Order: sequence, then C-alpha cells, then structure tokens
Amino acid sequence: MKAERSELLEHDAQAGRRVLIVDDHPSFRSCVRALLTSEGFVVVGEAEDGESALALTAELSPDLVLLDIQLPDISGFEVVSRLHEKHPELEVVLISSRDQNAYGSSLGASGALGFITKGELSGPALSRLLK
Amino acid sequence: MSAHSAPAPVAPSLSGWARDGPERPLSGVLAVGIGVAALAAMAGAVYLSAASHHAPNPIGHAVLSVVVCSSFVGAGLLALRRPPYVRFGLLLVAVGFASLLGALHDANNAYLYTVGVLTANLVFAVLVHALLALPGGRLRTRSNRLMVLVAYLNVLVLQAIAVVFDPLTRWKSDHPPNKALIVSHPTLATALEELEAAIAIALALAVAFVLFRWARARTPVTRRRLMPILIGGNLGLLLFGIGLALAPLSSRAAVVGIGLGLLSSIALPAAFVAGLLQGRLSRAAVGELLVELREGTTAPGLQDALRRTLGDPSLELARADASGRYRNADGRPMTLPGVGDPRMTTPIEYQGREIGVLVHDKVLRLRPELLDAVNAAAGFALANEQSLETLQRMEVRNRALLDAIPDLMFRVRRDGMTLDVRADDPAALVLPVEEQIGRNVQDVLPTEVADAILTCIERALETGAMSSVEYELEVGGKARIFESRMVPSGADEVVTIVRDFTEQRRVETEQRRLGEEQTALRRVATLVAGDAPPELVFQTVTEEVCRVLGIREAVLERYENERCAIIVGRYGNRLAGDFDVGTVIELEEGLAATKVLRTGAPVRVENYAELPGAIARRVSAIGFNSSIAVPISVAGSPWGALVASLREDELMPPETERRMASFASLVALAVASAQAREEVEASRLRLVEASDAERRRLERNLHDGAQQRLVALSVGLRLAMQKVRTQPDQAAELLEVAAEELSAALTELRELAQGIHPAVLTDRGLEPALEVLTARAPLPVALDVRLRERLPEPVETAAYYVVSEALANVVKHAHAAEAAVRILPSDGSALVEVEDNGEGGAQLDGGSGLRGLLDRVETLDGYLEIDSRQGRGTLVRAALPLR
Repeated sequence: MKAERSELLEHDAQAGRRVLIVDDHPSFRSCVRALLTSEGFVVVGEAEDGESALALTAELSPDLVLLDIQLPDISGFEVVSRLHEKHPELEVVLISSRDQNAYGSSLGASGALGFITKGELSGPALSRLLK
Repeated sequence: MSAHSAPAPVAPSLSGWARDGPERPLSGVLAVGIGVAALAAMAGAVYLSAASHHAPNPIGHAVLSVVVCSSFVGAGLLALRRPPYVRFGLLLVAVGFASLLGALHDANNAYLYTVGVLTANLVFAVLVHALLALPGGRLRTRSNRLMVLVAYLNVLVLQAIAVVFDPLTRWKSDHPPNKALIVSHPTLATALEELEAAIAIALALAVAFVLFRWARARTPVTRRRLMPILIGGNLGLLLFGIGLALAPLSSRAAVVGIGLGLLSSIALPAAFVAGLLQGRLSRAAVGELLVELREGTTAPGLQDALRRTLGDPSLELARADASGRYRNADGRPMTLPGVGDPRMTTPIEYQGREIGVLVHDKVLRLRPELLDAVNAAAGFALANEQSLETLQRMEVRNRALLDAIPDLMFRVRRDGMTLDVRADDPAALVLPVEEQIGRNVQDVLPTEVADAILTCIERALETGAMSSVEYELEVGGKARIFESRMVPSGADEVVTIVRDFTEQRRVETEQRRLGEEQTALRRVATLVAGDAPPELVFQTVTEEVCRVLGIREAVLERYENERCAIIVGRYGNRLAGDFDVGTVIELEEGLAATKVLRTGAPVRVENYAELPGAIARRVSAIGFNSSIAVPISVAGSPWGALVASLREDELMPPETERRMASFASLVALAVASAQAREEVEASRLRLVEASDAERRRLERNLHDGAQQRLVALSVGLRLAMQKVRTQPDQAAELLEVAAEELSAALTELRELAQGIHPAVLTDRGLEPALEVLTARAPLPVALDVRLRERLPEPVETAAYYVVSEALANVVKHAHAAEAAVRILPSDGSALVEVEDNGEGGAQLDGGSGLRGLLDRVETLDGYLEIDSRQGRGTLVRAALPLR
C-alpha cells in the first residue's frame, strides 16, 4: 500500500506534463493517448515517423517525447540524437515492442531518459522514469 | 676311317661265325683222346724211324717227329679249349699229325713206305692252311682259300702223280719198293717233283707276302706278337720248299731242308702258346677292339665288335637308360636272361656306375681275363658313346640356339681383327661379309666406336666374363643403335653378338617420354583435384609443358573478349617483363592465340618476324621464331590458349599439339572446377542471404503486425480496466476494439505461419497445398497435377515454393489475366510449370525471388528455366530429380 501510495504521489507530480507520442502504428498511438490522458498527462501531439517527430517537437515544444525505436524512416536512436541537438533539455523516453536486451548498450548511449517496453507502458511507469 | 673300312680283325669274320654257330671249346674228353692219339702216333712214328733199314738218320728223324708233333698237338690242345681259337687249334693239331706222316717214309713195309712217300709233304699244305687261318682258324679271303687249295693239290695230287712215275731209285737206298709206281720215268718224276717244289716255294713266298702285308696293317703290339709266328712259320715253309727242291739232287739236303723247315715251323705253336699263356692274344684281341672303338662305331657296330672279340655271336650289349631300363643295340627295351638261360649277364661299370650289361654265353666264364678286358673296353666305349651323344646333343642345341639368334655374330681378335662373321641380314653390316673378315674394326668403324669395342674386348678377355658396349653407327644411310655383347672364345679372341637396339631404344625413349608426360599431367591433375588456386595451376601447367616438351618458354592466356587476352601463367625468363602474368595482350592478326580463338583448333605460327603486329615484333625480337598454341575451352566456350613459344633450334614433332592438348584439358578442368566452386559459393551465400532476409521479413512482419496489435491490445485492455467501473460505456468500446485487434492479430499470425511453411503441404501433400495456394490467388489459376503418389519431402517443398514464388511474380509483375500450374512426372523428375498470359520479359536475374528459387532447385540437382519473351507471357519450368 505504501509503495502504491508513493507511486501515486510521483504520478501526481508528473501529471499535466506535455507529451508527444511518436509511433508508426495508429491504433497503438490512440490507445497510448487514451491511457496517458486518463492518467493526467497532456498529449500535445502524435507523429508517425522520425521526421514528423522532429518537426512536431519544434512546433509543439513538448516536455516529453514518447519515441518508438523502430520507425519507418529513421531509427529512434537517431531521432533522439537530433532532438537533443536542438533541445538539449528535452526528455525522451524510448519505447519498443522488443525488450531492452534487443538493443544492448545502444539504449544507454542514446541519451534518452529511459526505455519502456510497449507492453508495460503506463502512467505510473512513465512517472517513475520522469521523477 | 670308318669302322667298315678298318683292317680285317684278327678274329674270324662275323659271317663265318654266324653261319657255323658259336664256337665252343673242345670237350676235355675229346682233348684227352686227341692227346692220347697223338702220343700213340708219335710212338708209332718213333718205332718206324727207329726200326727203319733205310732211314739215313732214324734217331734224328724220330726226335724230329716227336718234337714237331708234340709242339703242334700240344699247342693245338691248348687252343681247342679257348674260344675263339678252337678252329685254329684243330689246324695246329692237324699240322702235328701231318708231320708224323713223314715217319711212314722210314717204314720198312713197302705199302707204308709208299703211303709215306705219297703223304710226306701234306704237312706243308696243312702248315700253309694254319698260317693263313691264323689265329681264328678260318681263311679270311678267297685268295687265301685258293692258296690253301693249291697247297693241298700240290702236295697230294701232284705228289701222287710224280710218285706214279718215280721208281725212287736215285738216292741209292735200300728202301722198300714204290708200290704206287705205274710207269718208271725218273726224268718225268723228277720234273714233276721239282714242279711241286717250285710251287711249294712260290706258295711259301706268297704266304709270306700275304701274312706280312696283313701283319703290317695290325697295331704295333699285334705285329710284335705275330712276328715270331710269321717269321718262324714262313721260314719253315720256305725251308720246306727248298728241301723239296733239293730232294731229287740230294736226299741229305732234302732231309736237312725239310727238317729245318719243320723245326722252324715250331715257332708257330711256340709263339701261339706263349701268347696264349700270357694272355697276350686276348689283350691283342681287346687291343684290336679298342682300336676299332677308337675309330668310332655305331651301337650295332660296337656289339658286333664285342661279338667278334669274344667269339660269341649271341652276345648282346644292353645300355642302361636314364630310367634304369635296358635297351639293346637298336634302342629297343630288352629283358635280361633269367635262370636256366644259356646266357648270362656281366654288368658294365664305368667310374662306379653301371652303364650297361653284356649278355653273353656262359662259356665265356672260362675266359675271365678276356671277359674283364672286353668288359672294360665296352665300358669305355659306352661311356664314350654317352659322352659323345651328350656332346652331340649339346652341339645340336647350341647350333640350334645360334641359328635361332637373328643377331649379327662376329669372332674378333684382341687387336680388333675380324676373324669370322655370321649375318642373316648382310644389310645390317657396314661392309659385305667377305670384306669385313680380315679387317680390323679400327679400319671399318669410326674411331670412337672402334675404341669402345676394343676396350670392351679387353674387358671381356681380362675378366673372362660377358662384357657389353652400346654405340651408335650409321648403317645403310641411317643412324642406328647397336649393342655388342662379348664373351671370350679363346685366349686371344672373343665372340660378339651384335644386336640392333634402335627400335627398342626408340620405344624406351617413347615410353620414358610418355611416363614423364603422365607424371607431369598427374602433378597438374593433383593440383586440380586438390582445388588448388587457378593461378597455381596455370603456372604449373606452363612449367610442366616446358619440361615435357623440352622447350624453354610457354604462356597461358585467358581471353578477356575478342580483342584481347590476359596472361595468367608463364614459364621462362625471356618472356619476363613484356609478358608477365597479368599483362593484357592485344589479339593481333596472325598471333597464335588469335588464330586459336578464331578457329577453335590447335595452330602453329612459323615465323613471327614476318607478322605485322607490335606484339609479334616484340616476340621475334626477344628470340622466338615460332609457336604452337592449343585452345582451352570451358563449357563449350573458348576460354584461353596454351602457347609454347619456340626458338629457332626448337623443332617440335607433329604430336606436340596432342600433348599440349592434354595439359589444356587440365587447365579447362581447373577453370571449370573453380567456376563451379565459385558458383557453389555464390549459391550458398545467396541461400544464406535469402534465409536471413526471410527471417528479417518474418521478424518485421511479426513486429509490425501481430506484435503491434497485441501491444495495442494490451494497452487497450489496461485502459478498459481503468474505465470499467467509472466509465463502463467507454470500457465496453475499448473491449470491442480490443476484440477486433485480437482477431486481426490472429489472422496475421495465421498468414504468417502459412508463409513460413504451409501446414497443408506437410499434412496432405503437394496437390491440396497448391489448391489452397491457387485458390487464394487474385486471378484465375488452372491447376493440373498428375502425380500418382506423394513426392519426396524436399522435392515437394521445392515444387510448392516454385509455384508460390512464380504465382507471386505473376501477381506482382505479369499483369496477366490468368495463369496455369502443371505438375508432371518426367523421366525420374517432377516437372513444375507455371505459365501466364501476361506481358512477359521476366529474367532469371531480374529479382531475388527467382534467383533464390534457382538455388533451391540446384541444391536438389535440378534445373530452372524461364521462357519469357516480351508480350508472349512467361513460362517458368523447373525439373526436380526424384532420387
């Protein structure tokens, strides 16, 4: 109970943060939007590929970018790199259907705030990374 | 001199013995009877002489009668017991008795006296008979028989005629009257008696002549033995004749002459007895035998000689053959006499070994010394005969061997002088035979050849063993190789057999060359079989070609196109620099490699100096005059050329191209092998790549499809859980979306699984699987499967994917209205055909799908072909072996 309470407090602290969702699958994006919105996050936009993500970030200035690693045009790692070139303080959380073993040390070197598998994505999980 | 022309033997002739049967010794009883008779006769003679009233010297005559008679009769009795002298013994006895007839001349009784007068000279004739029949007792010739007849007629008939006319009054003696007197005619009687005396003297001289001539033909030993007999006997005859001649003039002279004659004739029995007692006659007979044998005799001749020597016409000589059986003189097997046979056997031994037997009359046991001597002589003869036969066989064999040898034969002296030549083929000689004999090899042969031969002769003579020398000689305008083998044939000469080895050496050289070629080819083949790098094979081939052909330089060129070639192998120094490996050669007109490319056949280029191109000039400038090149074809297409570059002194025989072609074949094999290896590598790589790509595609599909849907489903379900109590309507909507996502995910997973390996193919076989495949196709596909049973699993899978990929291409690229799929059995293979009526123009290398299919089909040793002309549709055909 204590732990759940703590998570809820952390989650409340992150609530209201502006999130940009980047994934090439529309059904996943809509589910994540509904999930995060229901948990207090503000979804400012959705992007289906890397280039769109770069453009929307510049346009919407989100606090957080939820970024799929496997995008149809450019790799999520490259998107992180290019985002940080222009927005060094921007927090980026990488997501993927695969677990982190599929990417090895690339995750640590990417400069992203953290990594969550898509199956485990939730508001509290995101808040733990952002605290 | 042959055995048949030898002097007449001492013993009687064969025909005589054969006619009269074997000579047997006189029985002892008869001999004793003769002896007693002789004693009685001598007693009678002594009485007549002693009681004589008219004998001039009765005592002397009596003594003479006893001495002469006893001498002859005694010797005769000895001879009568010793074949072959029985007949001679009878003659001696006859002489003894005849000598006593003279005693009747002393008789006082007129009739006895007359008989004495009539027969007083009979002893002369018997003596002649005995001498001429010496020592066998048989007269040998017709002239001898004539002389004996004349002698008997002379002393009996002529004497009788004279006595008929002789009153016997001229000696003024008181002898009894001549009872045979018919007409007294002293003058006629005297004349007749003188005629008788003359004939007697003539006979004595004739006998002497005949006997001495006969004796001269005997051996010295025999002559020495016979001489006392001949001298005594003939002297006796002569004195007897002289006595007869003096009788009409002086009775005393006549008595003296006749008496001396009789006394002289005693030499005959005396010598005979002496010889007999000492065995000299036997040895003489054996000696004669040996003389005869020395002259050489045939097998029957030897037997005849032994028969004559032993006086046994029944004698047989048996030779022991190699198997121990006995064979007679004619070579036929014979049985030795057994118990009860009048004949017996005496083994003939030589050096302790029985080599035959004498089968002879048992009576010869009485003459052991003669038998032993004859046996020994026979042993020598048989051993000699065997040695001679062996020698003759060897000679025949050696001669046959020599005749069978087709080679030249020379007899050469130590100094090189040719003593003899035998050549079946005179054309093989440097000079004709008659010119070669007597010439020194140094005068006939080139100096170095002659020296080699002389050295070889010296070596053969020094070692006593065979020595040989090989040399080359020009005979009949052609260079030929000879081998001379020499063996000593005397202290200072050798026999040499010269054999023409030209052809053999040529064959040996050819075999050696072939062997070297095979070895070189094997070395290259080993490299090829060992998958050595082509560069190493190319280099080795040029090197081996040079070694085998005996040339200095060779290159291997690979055609890059119709205008140029690249050097991929080189051997030799002169070509270095201008024609190193990697150098591109322009295929100028006239170059060997160019001609090979044009004709596809081996070529020879004879004179580079006359060719126009720069490369030809360069080749000529570095010393190459000509070249030989053979093509190298791989998979029926010209690949390159193997070029032997030749200098002016390198003249190659016609078979060079064939020999080079063997190496070219190995190069082609190496290239084809390397290409096949590369193809296999490429195929394997493509399979790996295709497999990787397929895995990536699957992962992508999973990731992009079902996995994303499941992830979204997971998020949606969690969201629905949050809203199920607070916002049940939204939760229901979320659950509905989730159900759709789940259904879509299941569909995608099913399709994905179908793409990995269709379960229906595994479960039900090719035809149902193809029915599903064609049914899902977005265009009409006619399916025609004519299989009686299921195919092997790899073939079935390959056939499915050929159809699957081909139909996918039809859908993607062909723009076809319809398609057809056929699976047909075809000669141990399954034939897979996919045909469409689209726009065509498909290529095997046009897309990785068909390329991957090709690899899959070739893995099964099948083939894949495409017929896809523009606007005519496409036919993809694969043949898959069923093994």
